Amino acid sequence: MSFYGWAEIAVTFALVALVSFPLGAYMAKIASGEPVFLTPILGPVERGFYRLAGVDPTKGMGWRSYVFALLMISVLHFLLLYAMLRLQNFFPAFLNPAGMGAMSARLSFNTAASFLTNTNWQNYSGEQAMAYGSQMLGLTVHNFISPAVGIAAAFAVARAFGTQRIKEFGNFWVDLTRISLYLLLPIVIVMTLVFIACGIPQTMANYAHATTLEGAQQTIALGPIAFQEAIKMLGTNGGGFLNTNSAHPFENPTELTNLIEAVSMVSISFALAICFGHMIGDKKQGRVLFYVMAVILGVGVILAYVAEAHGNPLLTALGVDPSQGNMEGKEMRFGTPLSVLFGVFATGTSCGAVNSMHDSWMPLAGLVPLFLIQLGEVTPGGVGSGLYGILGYCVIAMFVAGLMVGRTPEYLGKKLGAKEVKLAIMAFLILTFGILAGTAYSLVNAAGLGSLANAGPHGLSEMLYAWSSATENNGSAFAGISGDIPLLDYGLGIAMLLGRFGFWIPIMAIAGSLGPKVKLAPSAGTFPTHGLLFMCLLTGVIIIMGGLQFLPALSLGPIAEHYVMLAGKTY
Amino acid sequence: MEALAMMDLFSVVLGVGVLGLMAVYTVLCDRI
Repeated sequence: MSFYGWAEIAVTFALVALVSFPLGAYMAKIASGEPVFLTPILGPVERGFYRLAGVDPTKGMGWRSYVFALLMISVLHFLLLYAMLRLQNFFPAFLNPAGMGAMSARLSFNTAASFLTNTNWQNYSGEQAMAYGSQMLGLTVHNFISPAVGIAAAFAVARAFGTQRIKEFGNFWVDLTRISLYLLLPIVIVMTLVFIACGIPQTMANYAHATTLEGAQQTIALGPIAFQEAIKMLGTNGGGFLNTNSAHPFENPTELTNLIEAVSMVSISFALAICFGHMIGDKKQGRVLFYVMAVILGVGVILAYVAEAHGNPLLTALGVDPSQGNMEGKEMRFGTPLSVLFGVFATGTSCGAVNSMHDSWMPLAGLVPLFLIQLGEVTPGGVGSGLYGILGYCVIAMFVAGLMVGRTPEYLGKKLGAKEVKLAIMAFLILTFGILAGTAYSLVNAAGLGSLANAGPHGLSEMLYAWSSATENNGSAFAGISGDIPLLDYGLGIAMLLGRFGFWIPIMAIAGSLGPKVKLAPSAGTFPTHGLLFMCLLTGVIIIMGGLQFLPALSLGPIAEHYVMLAGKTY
Repeated sequence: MEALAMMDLFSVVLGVGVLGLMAVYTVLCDRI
């Protein structure tokens, strides 16, 4: 640990806070349909889209219509992306200069499910399997649509919590258009230009070929990377253009690009908490969610940095200098603090980008990203999914508080009944089922065991991480697993779809149930949800729910590995 | 070629099928 390490972490957190508050206020304007500073330029484009699609922007949707609209567009996008990947070998030369062949059926299924659900789990290596056309017209398009869909879903849920007696939760098509036009696209254009200035390639030229000093031939992968890199981070997508993701110097060449990537991957999710406060007309409620997200994420960074900074005791015993921490699997230009910070940010959100190999982290440091993913991606979570996820936790927290004091629970003035609590529990149990059942089945299956690079508790962590990452729509890989086998291509693909829609639909049903209810004025018996007590309660519910469900699996994985390692055994 | 077509059919039906099940799931959530 060093002063500079802590300073780098503190500066990044400060920048996130600085960006999130104004961005949250701006997003609330987008949600309400108010004009924003870009309306004079992009307003005609927005209205043109509605006319083209035959959408009446003034027409609201009930929660079921909202869900069906989202499912409909998801089916269409799944089919389009699947077809594109299967037929990329027919692309014209300028869209496929390296002459990539068609992707296999099962890998296309996995990739289509992955990018549809904002997961971006990659069982392929981008520079060896993906044509430029597929990257630009398939993956990058989904990198815009999937976060926009997530934010739209969060807007719909927020409207239900914050508005008196409503049956319509906005218009899905309007939300999707406004988020893409006024939020994602302008920021991505600016980020792309900065990335290009920092040295990230943006070219349609074929891969470069070089002769090394030893006389060997080397192929250097290029492509339209900068634009995809920007939306990859901003939309908490995380799928790299290149296989080693943000560890590659063409995706993340300098400390400056690393800082921009780290800040951009959490900013919208944090800003959505602030946006929620604006949308419901009570900014304190939004700030409470922001603080809970920040505290859990901050503690995660501290724990992981402490665990990494002491280095590997087995290597220290062999005479390796531990002053730089555990540098296995890390880039020299980032060092331990920026690698840890990036990894924890990418798993506290549902981003899944990596600038170091999590498989090489110390066991207890590796536990942190795994645990953050398993908490349900709410610290601050994916764009949109983080907000509606933590609102699900709020329902459970208020139910627990109601049990303790013997009163009917209510949140933001809306009475919570058995239906809302059942739906919230159901949403979280689906995630638990996907992670634990998938991991258990894969670990008693010869194909699953054969995909692991390591034995013992480390192998268990690798499999647990894969199913956690897929089900919670994170997308980062622990590494050490060969995912392109039928079991994992299809199994993880189904887990991603279940994790995305199986979680969001019950939360939307809660919105549908709460929306028409009367919003009661606070009374002497109302549990205040804008103070420290509620923050502690909500944090406790998030940690205990995560801990209770996954502690046995974590004990068999990273925790056991830590003690076995101290005894001198590695895997 | 035939095996390839079967794999495509399986993958597409699986993907659309899971999303279709989500529509049924929506109706079930409404009735809880």
